[in-house]
Amino acid sequence: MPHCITRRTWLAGAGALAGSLALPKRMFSAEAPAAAVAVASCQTYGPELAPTLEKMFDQLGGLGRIVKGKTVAVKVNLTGLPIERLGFLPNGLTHWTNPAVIEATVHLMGKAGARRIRILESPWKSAEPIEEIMLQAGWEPRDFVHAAPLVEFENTNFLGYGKQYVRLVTPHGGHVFRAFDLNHSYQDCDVFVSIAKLKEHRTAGVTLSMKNCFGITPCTIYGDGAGEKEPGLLPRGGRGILHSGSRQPSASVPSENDPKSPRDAGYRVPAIVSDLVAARPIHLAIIDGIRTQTGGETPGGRSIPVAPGVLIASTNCVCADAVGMAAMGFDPMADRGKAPFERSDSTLRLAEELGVGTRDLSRIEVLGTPITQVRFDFRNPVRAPDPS
Amino acid sequence: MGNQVPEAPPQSRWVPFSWPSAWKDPQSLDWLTGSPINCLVFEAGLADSGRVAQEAQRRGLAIVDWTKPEASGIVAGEAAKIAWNGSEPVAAIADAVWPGVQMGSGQGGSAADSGPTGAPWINANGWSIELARARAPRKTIWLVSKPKGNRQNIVIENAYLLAVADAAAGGARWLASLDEQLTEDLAARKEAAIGRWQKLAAALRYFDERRSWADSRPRAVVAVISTFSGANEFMSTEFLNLAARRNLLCSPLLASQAATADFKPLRAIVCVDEEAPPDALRRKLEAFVKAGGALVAPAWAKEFSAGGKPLSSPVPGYDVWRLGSGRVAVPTAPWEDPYSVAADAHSLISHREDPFLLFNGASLMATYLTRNGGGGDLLELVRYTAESQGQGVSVLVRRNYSSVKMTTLEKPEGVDIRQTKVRDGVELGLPAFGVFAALEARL
Repeated sequence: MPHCITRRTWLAGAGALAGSLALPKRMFSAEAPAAAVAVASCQTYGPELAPTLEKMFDQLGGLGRIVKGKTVAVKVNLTGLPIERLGFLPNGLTHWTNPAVIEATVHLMGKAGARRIRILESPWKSAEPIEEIMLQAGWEPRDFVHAAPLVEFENTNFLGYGKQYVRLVTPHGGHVFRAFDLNHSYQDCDVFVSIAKLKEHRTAGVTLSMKNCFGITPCTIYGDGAGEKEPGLLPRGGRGILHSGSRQPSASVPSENDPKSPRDAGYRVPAIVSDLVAARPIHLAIIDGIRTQTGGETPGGRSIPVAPGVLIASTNCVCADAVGMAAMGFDPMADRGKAPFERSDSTLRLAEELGVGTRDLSRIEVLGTPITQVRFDFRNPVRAPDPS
Repeated sequence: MGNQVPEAPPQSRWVPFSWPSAWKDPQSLDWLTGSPINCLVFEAGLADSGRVAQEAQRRGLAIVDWTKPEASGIVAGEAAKIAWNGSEPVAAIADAVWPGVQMGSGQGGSAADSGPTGAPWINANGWSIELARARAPRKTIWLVSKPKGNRQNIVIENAYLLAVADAAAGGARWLASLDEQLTEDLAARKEAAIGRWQKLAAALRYFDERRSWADSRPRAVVAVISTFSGANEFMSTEFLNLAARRNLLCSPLLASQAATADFKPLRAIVCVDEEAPPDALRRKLEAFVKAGGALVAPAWAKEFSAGGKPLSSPVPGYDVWRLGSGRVAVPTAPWEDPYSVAADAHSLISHREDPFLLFNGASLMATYLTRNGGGGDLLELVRYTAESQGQGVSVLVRRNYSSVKMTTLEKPEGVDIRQTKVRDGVELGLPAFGVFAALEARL
């Protein structure tokens, strides 16, 4: 049954959202779009990976229709420091997008006719080239270069190779920011792809294809060491000011819609993420859940390595994340106060309100493996065996 | 025959200890029983030593009057002021830092200071020892640094072990000295103090039994060329300091020696000084680049762009050329911040050249050596938080070994380490360790 979120129905249900700390200034009144989500069981990053991904893309209508002749920007998830690991495990088995998933996707995009593929990330507090970040983790960036005809990298944590930042406007005014200034790579592309990891997040509940895009913000503007008036030359800190709202970004860019809105990270981070994915739409969302970790986005705390053995892809990021949440054993309709959003609002709900996509599983067609067959309970996890 | 005074060991074998001035009783020398300490340093001079010096000599210990160290073959002073070409067999660096993670003034002094990356700020002496050994390869290097209390003015447990390891990992010796509290508590024979003393003695013994490690050669493939003095001192020494914190292994190479040095083991050279080197060295650097090396140097190196092919710089603020099989990178503006210079150089050279990668080791600094005589390598890890924390440490080394054994101060007998083959080397998952671990790898 279609789920229609209108201003009236949302306001009627506002009581149920009593824990939410702020309401967006403007509501999207039309029904949030739905898109099919491909789900596949995939147990390893070995030879089965590329054919599995190819089949999933075919289920979505084929990669060619998305990338042929296009410049494709691929945001991967390399969160934290490259030298931080969960125990002795390589980052790709815990909290980073696995390099085999990136390589296979890049290869398939090249095969499907992508003209140029740019691998993007804004590594924590760093202006180092992405290739150097990868090398520090023990990766070989040449694998990606050789996977398709024209593959490039850019660290988007600062101006990078661009001459100026680009301004992307959030439709409907956004929850926190009406526009963002970003590295040029997020505009100089025809197609934007988010390749995320299936993870919980200590602040935002979950981090999937949408939360992956929190990292498209340059720390020269939105970081703790950002310039006060103009963007800094180099990133000097993390994104603490987006979390805490302790200060506004550089004065040369649009400030928050309401600087008096809650400073609670559990409100701000999901809201800012939903603004970002509305301002910079994701054309293809891919979630790597073959091996990952529980308990948070980076090693530490109660995290343990797990092997859900699942891949998820969709042309709609909210739909992909809704299926991702369900695959993690969570209810995608959950909001503040209910797992995994014990301390935060739901990014999915906030993005839905901006018209990005629906989180209602009853409106989402699941292609391939049924969710019930890949569901892995992140709150009652079985530790993955060490890789052989 | 029974009254014959044992001969004091040669200076190169001295394990020095700054004798507490409060300990006037010769019986206090019994504390040294079972320790490798064989050299007593009297900072206020022998006149202040009471009968201790006399009894120490009778026991075969070397005696140093610190008011005139040259009389004992020691040149002592601030590193920048030491006459390195003198004949003294020992050089004592008097401005060594007390090693550890620097505690900030905020949050009651309980928070670690951090650098621009947010990584904890580490005070370490490894770079200073390397430079001293480059200046005077035949001298034995001592570090003189006094115990420094934390905010409660209590030296943290294991801090002495860290001081020993910080010096020894670089092939130097710490002039061991005790803080007042420990001196008093030992005199009062307090159990906790005795335990700490025994741990210190065991750490000194661990390194003394492995003193041949000091003859190993660095496995660094990056050299830093500078005069390391005058106007160049700040940038060049800070570069060494900050490169070490990044585990960018590099060897200091004095500009005066560079023209005759062997560049063959090197993959990259960083010239720090703004002024152009002499013609002979410039020609040698050019040949190094054409043969495949990477050169990072100030504006004077633009002369190498003639005949070179411009490349896209991976780091903002640099012009890069291909020359022959190698590359030259020149900053577009004069260098100002040594931290940025070290970070830029690391990226320009590329982590691909790192002989090893260290995981979960933000508070660790590493020394990677080839054992004298070949046959194996030695990777030493010093933990500047002085205690094991968080996730387990692992190392990726880009070399295959037949076996790897890990020894620590806690387990000097060692344990074999399992090697996991990865694409370009092996990974070693290390058991938990405290202040220091050494990986002895056989080829």
